[in-house]
Amino acid sequence: MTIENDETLQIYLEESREHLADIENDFLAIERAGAEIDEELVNKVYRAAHSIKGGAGFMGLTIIKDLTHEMENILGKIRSRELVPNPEIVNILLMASDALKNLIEDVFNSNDVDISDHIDALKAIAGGFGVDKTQTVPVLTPPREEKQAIEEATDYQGSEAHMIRVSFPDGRYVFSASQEDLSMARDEGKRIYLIDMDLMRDVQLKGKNPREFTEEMQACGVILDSSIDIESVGAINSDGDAGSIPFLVFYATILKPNDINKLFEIDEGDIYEFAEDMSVRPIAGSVQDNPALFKLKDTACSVKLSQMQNEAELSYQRPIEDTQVPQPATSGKKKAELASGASQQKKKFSVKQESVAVSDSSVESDKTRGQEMPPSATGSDTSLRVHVSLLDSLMNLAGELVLSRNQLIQAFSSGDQRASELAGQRIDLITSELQEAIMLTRMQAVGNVFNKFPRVVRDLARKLGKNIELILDGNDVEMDKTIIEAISDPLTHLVRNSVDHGIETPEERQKSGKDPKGTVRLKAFHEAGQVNIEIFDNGRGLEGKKLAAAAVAKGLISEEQASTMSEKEKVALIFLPGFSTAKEVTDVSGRGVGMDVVKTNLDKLGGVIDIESKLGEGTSIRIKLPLTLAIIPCQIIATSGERYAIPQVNLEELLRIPADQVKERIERVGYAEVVRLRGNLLPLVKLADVIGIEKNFVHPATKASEADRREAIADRRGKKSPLFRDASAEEDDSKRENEEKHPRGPDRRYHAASALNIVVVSTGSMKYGLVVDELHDSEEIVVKPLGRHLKHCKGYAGATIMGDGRVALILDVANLARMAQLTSLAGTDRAAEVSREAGDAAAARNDRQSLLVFRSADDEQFVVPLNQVERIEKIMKSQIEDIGGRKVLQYRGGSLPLFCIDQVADVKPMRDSEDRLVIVFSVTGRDVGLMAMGPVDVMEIFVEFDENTIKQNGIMGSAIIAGHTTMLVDIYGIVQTLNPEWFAAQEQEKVKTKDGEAPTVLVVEDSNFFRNQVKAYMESDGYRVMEAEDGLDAWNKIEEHADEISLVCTDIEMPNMDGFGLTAKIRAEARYSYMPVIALTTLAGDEDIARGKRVGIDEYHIKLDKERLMEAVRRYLKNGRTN
Amino acid sequence: MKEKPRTDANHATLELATFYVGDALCGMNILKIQEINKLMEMTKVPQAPAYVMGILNLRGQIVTIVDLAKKLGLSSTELTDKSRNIIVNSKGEHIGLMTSRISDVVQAGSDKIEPPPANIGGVQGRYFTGVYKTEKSLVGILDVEEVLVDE
Repeated sequence: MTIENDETLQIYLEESREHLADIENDFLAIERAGAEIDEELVNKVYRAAHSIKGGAGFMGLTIIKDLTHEMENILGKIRSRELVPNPEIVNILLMASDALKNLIEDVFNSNDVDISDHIDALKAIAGGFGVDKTQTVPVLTPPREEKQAIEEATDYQGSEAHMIRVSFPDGRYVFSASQEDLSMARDEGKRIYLIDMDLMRDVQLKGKNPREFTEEMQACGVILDSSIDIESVGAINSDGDAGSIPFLVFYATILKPNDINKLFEIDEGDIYEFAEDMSVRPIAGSVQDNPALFKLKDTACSVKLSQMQNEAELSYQRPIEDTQVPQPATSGKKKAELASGASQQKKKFSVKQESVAVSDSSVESDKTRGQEMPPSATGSDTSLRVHVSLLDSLMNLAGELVLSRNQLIQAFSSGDQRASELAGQRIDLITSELQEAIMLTRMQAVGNVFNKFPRVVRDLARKLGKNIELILDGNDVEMDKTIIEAISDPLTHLVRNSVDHGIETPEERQKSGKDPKGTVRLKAFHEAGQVNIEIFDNGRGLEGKKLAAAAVAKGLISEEQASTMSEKEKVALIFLPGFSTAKEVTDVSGRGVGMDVVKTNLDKLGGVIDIESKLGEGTSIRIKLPLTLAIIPCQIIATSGERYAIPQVNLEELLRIPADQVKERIERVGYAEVVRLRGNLLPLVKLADVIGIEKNFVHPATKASEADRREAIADRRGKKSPLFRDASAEEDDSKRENEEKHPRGPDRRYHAASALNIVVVSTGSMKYGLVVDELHDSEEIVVKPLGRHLKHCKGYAGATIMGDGRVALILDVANLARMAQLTSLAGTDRAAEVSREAGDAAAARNDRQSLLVFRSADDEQFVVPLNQVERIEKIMKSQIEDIGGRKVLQYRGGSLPLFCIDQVADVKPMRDSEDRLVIVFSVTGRDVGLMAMGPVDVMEIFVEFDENTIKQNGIMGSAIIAGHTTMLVDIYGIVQTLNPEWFAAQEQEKVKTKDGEAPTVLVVEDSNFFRNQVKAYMESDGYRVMEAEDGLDAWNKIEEHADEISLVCTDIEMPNMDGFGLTAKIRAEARYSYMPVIALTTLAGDEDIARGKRVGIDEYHIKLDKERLMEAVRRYLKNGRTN
Repeated sequence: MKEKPRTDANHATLELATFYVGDALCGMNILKIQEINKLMEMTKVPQAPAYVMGILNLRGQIVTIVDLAKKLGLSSTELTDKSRNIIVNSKGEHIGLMTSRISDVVQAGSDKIEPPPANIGGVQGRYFTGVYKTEKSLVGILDVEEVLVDE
């Protein structure tokens, strides 16, 4: 029988792991408590060490035994307050416990591991190092203790293999007795007790003599072993108060539990029965925390033991001289057994020795702990402890399931519809309960992972010289075991990151006015059927700018991408592969491979990670995890007749856009479609497009499925975006007009079934809308893997079986986004591209404007067309003269009348300042000055003016320029309002046609704004106006109303037919040769003018230069074309 | 080609289940077959390789259905009443082979099995381990693992 198969060893290892699981945090608690020793806690650790030691001795694991023995020694001293647990001592203990863990994990090679470093360190402490602050140093203990320890050690060396060792439930003194003795005693009908009595209380004070007492006991049974608890006696005696002398007896007798206490007058709470199943129970029946403290079966025991000495094994018997306990005897026999036992063990182990190299367990495990500890904490757990009550309920449910099955079969065979329905319902109910119960067996508290962090944080903080408090919250939140195991590593990494990069050094913190003690908080909580884990630190936070710069420097993203990123997106850059923010790579964290690995690991679990950071205030990382992996709630959707499941984890919301709102809410930005969702633009991805299936729609009237020919969601129903007034859109428009003329019955596009269904999904920091055909229910589904032929289909996370037996695919929304080239970074990339394209597109379709940007009040921005501006003068306030109710400025030998915009328009009053700007315009041949403020800027941009929102007297319209709503100043309007008399002279000489009517001017202009402006100019001068949207439209109108039109005033840049084309067409027809053509442009380049002249444009004028335009119009109407 | 192979009276060394892939009569070791069914409720998998017809639910297991004809380079199988799914177990996974028609089970004597020619009924020879000759027809013995190799 090899040692691996030894059940006993397995039990021992399992128990040891359990003990070790808590030992770390207990040590830390002991460290915190310092001199205020929590005896309970120390006892607990002591017992743990003791149990491990005992088992190790029994198993022949000498190294483990030696190590635990030394640890136990220290703990014993802490318990007896000989040692104050300071950080140094706890450190050594922690390192020893680490070493112990490694030994336990690799138990078969444990005997070959060199632990002398630990032993030396522990012995050094035990020998007095660090005891300087001890309050009570018993006179004689230290040397003796050591002696005792050594004696004990040698004593344990070999005999353990045949001995059963029993201790009190509180871990005090261990008795050893041979298995044989015990079974012999039991054969004789004896019971075995552990008695904890007090020689003072139970013997002396009752007027008994200890000698008589022991004799009395001997008469009724056999004292197998006994001991006086020297440690407590010593401590108490030093006070001079003989309070108690604990006397511990291991006793075999035929007396029943009820009788034993009566006979010896011992409190029944102090008597424990050592039962046949190797457990120690108080006979009083009071439930102890840990009744089965020591449970071991000596199955390997084959060597026959000689008569066990039933004398007490007292190493020394001071100070009670009168106890009459016989001296311990180290018999020759015992030594012989020792030797044979040892050689036996050696044989066992020698087989193993050659196979495995000794693992490194040197003292310095700080560096490697990150890699080594997780496996021990989370690794090879192949068995699971389940509460018996849970097992019972599972059993019950299984029973019920069988019953229901029988009912169902019966119902079927008898053809009883109702009964089968009932049985079906029952099975439904039981199955859900069963599922829940089975899931419960897999649930573990997240504390299993959290509990290792106090140590991690403590060690790291010590190493980095930081002062950090770790707060754990929600330890008892439960999650599926597999998830708990899988998040251990990512979490460790994140916590290390927080400690290493997040929290500043105490000095830095103090400098920035923070508490020198940093806080790292780990919090787990349930939310929306998911487990959320938050790692928060109040450290220095992340600086998006720096991160972006680093990412650019590393070539991970382009500068352009960086410039368009939001702060959050910049912070999320740390999840990019190959990104590390630490200035120096430390061995603690940040080798530059960290965060992306964390992210991929969490992605695998179906988790979502989100980071938020405020510079100087801290960083908060939130992880959302599913409760379990096997069964996940999903939203079922359908596209092209197939159903798909979208995990609820990724689901943000469902959006249904009614048919009549589609055109308003869906917009096209370049080739990307977006939906307006509460003020944000959400990119849309059509599922059918991404996975490449035929788009179908169900005709609402016929219910027939037809191929969907739409390219874009909002196609042919969308209101044209003002940005995209392109030729095709115009064509579209005309098509639509045609269609409207020939209606084809009710428009199905406005049928309720044509509403757009959007599933808003999120993956990490990115969110997008998945356009699907139908939204179904949300269901709990069981994830099934896909076959190997489908492993290249990245869009699916697996498949599931629906209620009707058909298979539905589970969508992987992160990969779908990738397939649609919509990954977070690519998304912004694309957005930037799109906006650039949008700009270009707009540029192609709109006229470029040269605008002078200025301000009057601080927060109102104005523009005027640059070509109206004569000059800009900088003046002092003192130069302004207020004469005759008007402000004037001496200017070039004359008086320049000055105006403010607020004199006419309802805008904020001019700011009163010393320095002023005067923009000089020429109106009706006179110079006027408009007072303004800087900053002044000239922009050449493409802009579309809105003539409705802010239009008023003096303001022509508004536009968004450089992020500000900007008003276009109507300088003529202002002057006309303030000085109407200037214009009066011109009005008199109105031009009339031959028959005395006002002449008609055809205004051709694609922009509503400019068309309306020009129209207004014309009408104010008394002309009739005919409008055309583009060259083609204009040409049609000319053909129709040739006799009415006296003059054509056309824009150059227009869709369908531009100004040149129109003019060429007009000039090609001899009958229109009389018709003057005035071209309007925003920028008149020489080349354009030359070209215009060639095709027959009579004159060029600048848009909004009302005066010159009107002058030219008047001239041409009066004189006709001169040549 | 339409004749069914005659059952050989020889001491059988190989039991072949035969079926039609397009017009080609193919066979495979019957021991490789787990079951033959006519489940046709497949779910299409967009973006899957062309030879994958879809996936279906076989008693709680997701089974990938491979269009055998398409996989072997013929035009795709049309689903008719005679179409059958041959479920095989390959590398620990169940895969369904869609065939247009199932034929007999034949006992193929080893003496009548010959190495495959370069082409059987328009199908490349590499998919076959051998050819079983009956009096009137040839049965190509499919190399299932080769057919199910995922590129």
